[in-house]
Amino acid sequence: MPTEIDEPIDVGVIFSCGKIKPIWFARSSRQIRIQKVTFHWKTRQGKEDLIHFSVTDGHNLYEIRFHTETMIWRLAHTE
Amino acid sequence: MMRTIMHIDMNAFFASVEQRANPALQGKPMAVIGSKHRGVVLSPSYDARAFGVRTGMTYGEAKKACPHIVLVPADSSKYAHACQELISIWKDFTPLVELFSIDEAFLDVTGCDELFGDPVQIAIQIKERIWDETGLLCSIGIGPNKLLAKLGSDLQKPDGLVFISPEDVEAVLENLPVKKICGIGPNLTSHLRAIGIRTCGELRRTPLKQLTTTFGLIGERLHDISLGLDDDPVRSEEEQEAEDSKSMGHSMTLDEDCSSRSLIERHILQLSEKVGRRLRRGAYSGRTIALTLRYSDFHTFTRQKKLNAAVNHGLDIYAGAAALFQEIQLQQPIRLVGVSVSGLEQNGVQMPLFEKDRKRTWITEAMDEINDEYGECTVTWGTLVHRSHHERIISPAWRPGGDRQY
Repeated sequence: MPTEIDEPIDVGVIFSCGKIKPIWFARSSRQIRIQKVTFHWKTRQGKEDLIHFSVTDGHNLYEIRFHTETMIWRLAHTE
Repeated sequence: MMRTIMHIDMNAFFASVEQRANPALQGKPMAVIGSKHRGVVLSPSYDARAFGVRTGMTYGEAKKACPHIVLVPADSSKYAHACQELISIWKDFTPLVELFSIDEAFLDVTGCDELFGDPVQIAIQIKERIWDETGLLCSIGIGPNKLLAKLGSDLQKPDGLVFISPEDVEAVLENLPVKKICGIGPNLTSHLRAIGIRTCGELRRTPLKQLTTTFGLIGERLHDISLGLDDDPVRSEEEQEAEDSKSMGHSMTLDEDCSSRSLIERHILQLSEKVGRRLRRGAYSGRTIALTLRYSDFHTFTRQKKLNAAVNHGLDIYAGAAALFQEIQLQQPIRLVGVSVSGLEQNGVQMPLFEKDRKRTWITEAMDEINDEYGECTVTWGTLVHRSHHERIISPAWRPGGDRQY
């Protein structure tokens, strides 16, 4: 079952052809390399679009979230 | 010109999306359930179906059928996004795409053969693109109308492709149980069985007069069904939106069955607020308020009343729905509550004449602005501070780009 985290994180991404590809994120001073983005989807919170990415480092599944208005990344869940 | 209609049915859609998002679930018996609290199975994976898990089973029934099943709470935003990806693929083949539900659509591909090949070739291309771009499987039925296309997609699952030509109709329908036809539900099936009709072949051999005498207008429709006839067009997005805007409503299945009238009234207020927000967003108002309740044994009933003036304020909708609720003597605990407004008109609300009413309008406008900016219920009535926060299940009426958020 997913565990809710909801904490701010630093994320390394590639912006290419109008798409965002997260490459790594840092959690507790540890860099986690993203092996695969398994799914992405959008939601809306008021006027802000949130882009969710389901990602895996090969061992664990994480959901990271990009807040498009505030340009903040958050780690939403981990499995 | 003979029409060519496709019905695309995404196989175990919610479950497949969750399996795509979480590869650890692939190849495992799993199912998407309605909520953590009341786990009705919405979409079992094919691995779970092999153990006998079916849509509509309770959490306990699913666990009994398959003790090691993994149950995942529904996440409507994922399914809505996946559906939008699918629509954009379908629209590359034809502009006439009618979303039948979030995981089913009709496509009118009449005249598309010069661009993409014959109907079967088009279906293969669509299946390949869906698989390549989304990793999802679908069944496609092709026929000269929606009835036969839908029947075709039901005949082969998962990953099916069935083409029913006009010459095949009689043979396909002859031994087909009438309950397999879209639109013939359990009640009609048992009525038909009572007069000795179990298959479409038997239905075809029943005289039209007998059908109309027994079933009235539906008798003619049943006769057409038995012949594989259906002239219902594939509706464009604009036509669907016009049809959807005849009424607006919301319902919620409660986390647990409820007998407390005050709690049920709070749910009615919460739903009335949601309906009011949607109405105001589209500048709609309506005169007819309806309250739907479902008992714990699934018996469902609706009461409605017509107001003197069109309303779109949550409290006015609540007043109408609560008055209907007052007249109901509850026979059992309540499982589901629904509130809807129909008889819609645009810009139909009368301008407030009195200071008190004007203030209420200003407050509502201010609340709408804040909630538009920061999200639903950022500002709401004190009574709703302890409102239900249960997980949302996507509505059958959801449309991409529509005013309904899941």
